[in-house]
Amino acid sequence: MSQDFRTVESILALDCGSTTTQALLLDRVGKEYRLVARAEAPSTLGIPWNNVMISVRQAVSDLSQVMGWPLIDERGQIITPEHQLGGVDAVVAITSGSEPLRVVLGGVMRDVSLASARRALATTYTTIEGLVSLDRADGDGHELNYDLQGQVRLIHELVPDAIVLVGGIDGGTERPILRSAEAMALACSTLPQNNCPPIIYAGNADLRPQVAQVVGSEASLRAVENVRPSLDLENLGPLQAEVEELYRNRKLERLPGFGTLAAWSSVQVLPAAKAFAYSVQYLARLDGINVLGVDVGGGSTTLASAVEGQFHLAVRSDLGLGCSAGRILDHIAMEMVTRWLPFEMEPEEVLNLLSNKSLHCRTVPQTRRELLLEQAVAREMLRLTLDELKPRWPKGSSYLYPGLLPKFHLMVGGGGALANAPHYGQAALVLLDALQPVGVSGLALDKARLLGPLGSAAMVQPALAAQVMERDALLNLGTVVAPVGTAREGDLALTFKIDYDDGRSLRVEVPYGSLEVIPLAPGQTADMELRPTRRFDVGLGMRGQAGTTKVEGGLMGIIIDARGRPVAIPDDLDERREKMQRWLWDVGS
Amino acid sequence: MYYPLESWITPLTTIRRERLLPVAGEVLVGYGEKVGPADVVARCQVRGHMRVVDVSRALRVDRKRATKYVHKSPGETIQADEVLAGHGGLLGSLRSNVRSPVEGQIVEIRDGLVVIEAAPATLELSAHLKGQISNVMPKRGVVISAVGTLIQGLWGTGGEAEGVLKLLVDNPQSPLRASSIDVSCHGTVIVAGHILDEKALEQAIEAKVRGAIAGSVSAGLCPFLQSLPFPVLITNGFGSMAMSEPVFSLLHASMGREAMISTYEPGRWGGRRPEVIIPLRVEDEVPSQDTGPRPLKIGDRVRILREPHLGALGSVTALPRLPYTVESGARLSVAEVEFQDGDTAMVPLANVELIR
Repeated sequence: MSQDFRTVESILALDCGSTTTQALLLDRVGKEYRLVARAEAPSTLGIPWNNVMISVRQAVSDLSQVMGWPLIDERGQIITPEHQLGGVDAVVAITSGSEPLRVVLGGVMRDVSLASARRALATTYTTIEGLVSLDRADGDGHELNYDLQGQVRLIHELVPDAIVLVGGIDGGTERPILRSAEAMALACSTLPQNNCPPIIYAGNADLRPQVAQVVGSEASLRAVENVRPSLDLENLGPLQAEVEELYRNRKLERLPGFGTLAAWSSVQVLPAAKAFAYSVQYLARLDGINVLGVDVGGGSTTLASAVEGQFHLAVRSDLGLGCSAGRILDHIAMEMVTRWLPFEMEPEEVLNLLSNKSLHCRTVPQTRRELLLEQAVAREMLRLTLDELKPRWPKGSSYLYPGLLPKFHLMVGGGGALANAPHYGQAALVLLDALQPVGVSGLALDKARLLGPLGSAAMVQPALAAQVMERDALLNLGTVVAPVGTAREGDLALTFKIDYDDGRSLRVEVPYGSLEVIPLAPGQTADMELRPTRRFDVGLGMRGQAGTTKVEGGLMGIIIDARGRPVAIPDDLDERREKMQRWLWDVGS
Repeated sequence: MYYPLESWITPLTTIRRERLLPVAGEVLVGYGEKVGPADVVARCQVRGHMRVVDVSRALRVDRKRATKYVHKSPGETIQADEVLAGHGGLLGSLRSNVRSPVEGQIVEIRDGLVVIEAAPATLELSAHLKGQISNVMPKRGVVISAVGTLIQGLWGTGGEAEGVLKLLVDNPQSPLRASSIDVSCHGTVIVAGHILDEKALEQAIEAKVRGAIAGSVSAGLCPFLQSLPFPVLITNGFGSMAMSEPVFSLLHASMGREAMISTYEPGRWGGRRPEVIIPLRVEDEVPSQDTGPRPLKIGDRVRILREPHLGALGSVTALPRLPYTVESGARLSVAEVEFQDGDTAMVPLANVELIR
């Protein structure tokens, strides 16, 4: 891309999701860049449309209408660059709408090399369709395809988009890896050449020549650095890059209508998760803070984190609130979903609702009952995706308690499930329940779903993206204070005092098990003195340690989440439902 | 301008359907030829399963040396239990043999491993539609054109079937009951408002029905439906909702006619909609169904896809420009819909399906 973007003043950002397509116009308003207008249309990737451009053109036409500024000419093409009668200077596009890369993953040890490979694959839109492990069984006790016959049959039946082979630390195990390579090459030799998946080798580096010899001309072999060069070292980058390139070539660019979308776009069309991660990185670098960004979309759930300067991304392409809504029940028991509901819902009704949602991915909940069910599913999708990210966080000073989140200074929620929540309190509660933050954190919502598009816009005009990010991207919900510890329900967990800027002050005692919301308007700040009891830590690394912090207001204000970590959910059904309802009321919903 | 989801529920249209082989093969019919549902229009060989025989392990010889003990070469055929490889011991009496587990063809011999592809099966592709060949794609398949009733469903399982339509209920609300299935259902495609339980379907297996069409079924029954020996097509979705009135009326009017049902479980990444086609003999030209998606407009007949009006039918009376706050509290773009009982409601556009 050798285009000169220095003169770019206006950008049309397109976000083509699996259920919704949105168009955003970013332009100069006075002396700064702002989000000027936004329009969205249901995505047209599936039958009967099979063309992403129908919804793109619809969203852009709606945007033009709102603005009274033509963006598309009479031939249906984008007008660029901007001139006196219409158009924009540049177009950027991101998408999460294409099918994920289907992978067969082979390795030696489930908890070592295969675990690392899974984490590398989770950074882009992939699904692991088949697993080959010499451990013989996965975590759920399912027998895996460890023998030659099983491996060949698996690949022959699945015909995956790619085979990833890992295993052995550098200089370590040889024989099982070569046997697996042999089986994979053999399986490839039985497939028609045009269906033959490439083999990506990211195992014991010393074995590369032998693996190349074994695979021979049966398949295209791409050898990258070992994903687990030693037992205590993980090297995900090279495998991630290779898989991402394959995803781009084999999936993204085959999205129906992609050719026109790419022709419109001034820079490479980015996978939405990657663009989202760019924005989270930017927010973290801007203030040198830990940031967690989450996005529950129609087709996937994405978490991007920045902890102590390290960036991580986890994408679950099988967990989305659209066509795969029902698939949550493949991973967890139904009670895990219904435990978040403040009312009774029969398992049959849950199954029917989620199955109907899978049939009609674009539909939206119209009743409170269905809305709260979808939000319950969103909590569990976030929790499952969080499990992918947890092992990757550095065990540094931010990591106070094993199994819990590190301290995040800012947590941002996005994607349709959160951005479209009718009440901000509902979005906040989904984030608190699913993520269960520790200590003091800012809470924000990517209401206009700008983070992904801005990650791409920054490739064209970094100043524009930075200014829009600062002004328009995040809707500040407020500050969360979450003490860690346990006590008896109702026992004092924390006392705090707020000194408002206007001289007023407020002192509150917070019992264990409660959720308190203290108003503090957006734009206002206050000094907050926190005095946890001796069983609780407010993120200062020591139980009972008092401290003072500056807190920022927001649409919710200050939320004191004294429900314990992990949040204690009563076993008794009535008590549990009453509690869920109370928490919803506490956040104003 | 809003492009809604859509379903075709139409009494008379021209339908064109591709019939394609999974792999290259032979097309058996020509352009313009008339075909019936059971006529074979194309044929191909489908590859068998792959079996790997580890000769080196079985003979306990070095992998590099094992190949020389294999009696067959790639491309050669082998019978089940035929000796594939073997060597004589020092005294001949310790002779050791490896036999083929399947009948098939040797595909690959590498480092003591032999891959055998089980004998291929012949796949015959039937027309599954009464109509005329309107296009021939050499080696791949044909396009068949027919005139008739088209009803698109929402979910289905079990493949394709043809049979005479037999309604087992007198209204779209009534469920399928075991007591209404008897020998007269043999070879028919049975129709009911919704499916309640496994009992009636077990009776349908006994009666050897060819297929079943229902408005809805509990999602929990899906694994059972997937195990049935006949296809099941669901027109409205999961739950216990009645069959849509226009669907029921069309099926009722077509009772005794031959229907073709195709059931495809819709995948997340595309695929075909399940459908019922009832061919009709019509002399005049009939407009085609392949007119492409179109935006929603006032007067359109729609079906509602979410509660509180799930499954209800109505027509669009207004398309307000401003968003409307629905029961959940969300402010959404809506259509004003007048239902058949005269009531009206604001329904999110995303929850409206255009009936064509």
